[in-house]
Amino acid sequence: MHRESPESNSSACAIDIRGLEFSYSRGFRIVVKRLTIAPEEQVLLAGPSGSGKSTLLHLIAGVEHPSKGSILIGGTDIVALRRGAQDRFRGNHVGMIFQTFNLLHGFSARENVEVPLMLAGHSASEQRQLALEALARLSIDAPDAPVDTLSVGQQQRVAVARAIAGGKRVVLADEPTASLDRANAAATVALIKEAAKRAGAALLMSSHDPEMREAFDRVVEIEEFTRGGARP
Amino acid sequence: MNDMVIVVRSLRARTLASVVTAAMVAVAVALLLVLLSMRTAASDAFRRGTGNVHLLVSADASPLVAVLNGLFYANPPANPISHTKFAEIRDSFPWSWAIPTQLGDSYRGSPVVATSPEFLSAFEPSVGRPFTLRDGRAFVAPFEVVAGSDAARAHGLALGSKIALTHGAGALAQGGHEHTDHPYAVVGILSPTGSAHDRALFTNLESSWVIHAEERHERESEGEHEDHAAGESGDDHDHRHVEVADLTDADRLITGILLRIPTRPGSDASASLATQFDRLRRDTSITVAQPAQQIGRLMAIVGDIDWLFIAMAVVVLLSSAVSILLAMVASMELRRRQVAILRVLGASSWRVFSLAVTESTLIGLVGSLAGCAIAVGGCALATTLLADRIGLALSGAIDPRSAILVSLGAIVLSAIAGIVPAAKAYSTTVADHLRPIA
Repeated sequence: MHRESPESNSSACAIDIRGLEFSYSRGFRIVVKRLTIAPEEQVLLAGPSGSGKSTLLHLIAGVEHPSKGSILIGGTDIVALRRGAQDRFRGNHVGMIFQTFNLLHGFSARENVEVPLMLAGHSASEQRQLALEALARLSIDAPDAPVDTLSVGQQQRVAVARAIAGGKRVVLADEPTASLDRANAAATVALIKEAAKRAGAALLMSSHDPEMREAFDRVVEIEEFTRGGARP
Repeated sequence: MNDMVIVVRSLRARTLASVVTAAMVAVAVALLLVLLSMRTAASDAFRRGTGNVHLLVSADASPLVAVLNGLFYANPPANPISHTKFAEIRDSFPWSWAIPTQLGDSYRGSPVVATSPEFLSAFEPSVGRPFTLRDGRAFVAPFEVVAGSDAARAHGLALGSKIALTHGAGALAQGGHEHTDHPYAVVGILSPTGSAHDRALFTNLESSWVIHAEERHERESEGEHEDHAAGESGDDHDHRHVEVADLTDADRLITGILLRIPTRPGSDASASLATQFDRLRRDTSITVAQPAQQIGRLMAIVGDIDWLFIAMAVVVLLSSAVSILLAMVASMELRRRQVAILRVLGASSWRVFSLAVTESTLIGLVGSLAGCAIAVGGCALATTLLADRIGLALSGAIDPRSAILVSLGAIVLSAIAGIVPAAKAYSTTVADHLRPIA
């Protein structure tokens, strides 16, 4: 389905970033000399709002493109892939969770989970089976209900199911707790961590909330990568 | 889940905009098809009516005028031909048939054709489709009249109706003279033929000759007593009754002769046509026309109007393509986020491009199908209205080839209209549209 990079030499890591450079036109830069995340490892990307956390996650997902360096996911350098292959690779191996869920309105819960599976090349029956498994794991008992009719909590679980379905290697969560109160934020983080663990995926979650640090064994500061530059 | 589900969900999420856009395509397609159909139907209606006549002889100034006057009843022919001339032409060749006609009288504006019974039996207004009587029978005796379908409907004529004809084609107020002394009895009503003949009434030549002979006598007696004419009303004549036996050559006038050359069964053409046409043309006292050829020339002259029709329709179609484009561009602005989500879920730029083009193509397809349905209904309505209002009988059928071509054109234009928003989707910067809405 996707072309593996000939440079695959770091398949032991879920994510392995080397010599990455990215600059905004306004002079803001992200420079990552090396960052590795082991399979199934759960890491918090910490830093204040607007400090470049989302940009780094978008770079790892392949929706932003660095000027230099490599980003290996499960040994495949996504920077070296052509755009179309990069998109398919993302559909296959990288799940994303957003603060606002970014569900497809007008689609059912199951269809929301099926879309990335379809784009990754799974057959219709595989899509259905994998989507129903993921939704069941997250306790969604009405998979054919339109997402617009679900409660906020259920929508969040659909978004998590979509990110893990199909055996993703990496789950990137971009400020998923930013708009939640403390109790809900803690529950959400627990949900995402549990789902990623059961799916066998590495988790990199960004948050500006210092309280979140306690929930993670490892914390990476975004400022390590942006020191000396202006904010975006 | 497949691409089509994404497209359909996306259209359904904007039901109103999708329906309005498809409706615009439907109206444009329907309008184009109706225009095209009416255009061919109008020329078909003109081509009908000359029927199986090979040659038309009259004393009009030109062959085209002869055909328009003689077979489409545009105006009463100005000059008569003597019955002797008719007999001479009739006996000069073994015609399949030779039918004399005399035009000039009317009934409330509808032309009256005084002719021989063969007009209704041998002449076919459309080749292979002779006149048929809806009610009653053909005229046999003098002062019997058979009404064309439109004339009967327009004037409320039924079997047994008594009518008085007017000398001259116009209404009485325009100087016509009503033959009140000789009421005609309606004995038959024809089925529609889709030709100008539906507007006419048919009677035999003798009745017409008798009336005009009496009028001639009246005029002569008026001339003799013109000193006493002051104060007399126009209808207060000194009548002298004329019988068929009293008619002289001066009374036996006609205005046209329809001729048909014998042909083999199943064929409408004959090699003798050109020879006979040339032979008759040598007689300078008459005008000879090949009706089919004259109508062909007329259609060539007015052919440019066709382009006006087509140009109008194309402008309508293009303007609706622009509307689709605007509607799609507007919807794409609203859907940037959806496109960004699809991209982050693994859709390539090309995939979202093709989804957007598929969406506009689908709108074009649905609109085209609806347009074809509307056109079929619209043509049926237009056919009924034209037949009711102006007596023009059109077939009103949509040509399947036009329908397919116009639909394909509309679908291609819709697809093209989808390219601009698709290009916007293609170039959507994913990261910018995934952030929470402020």
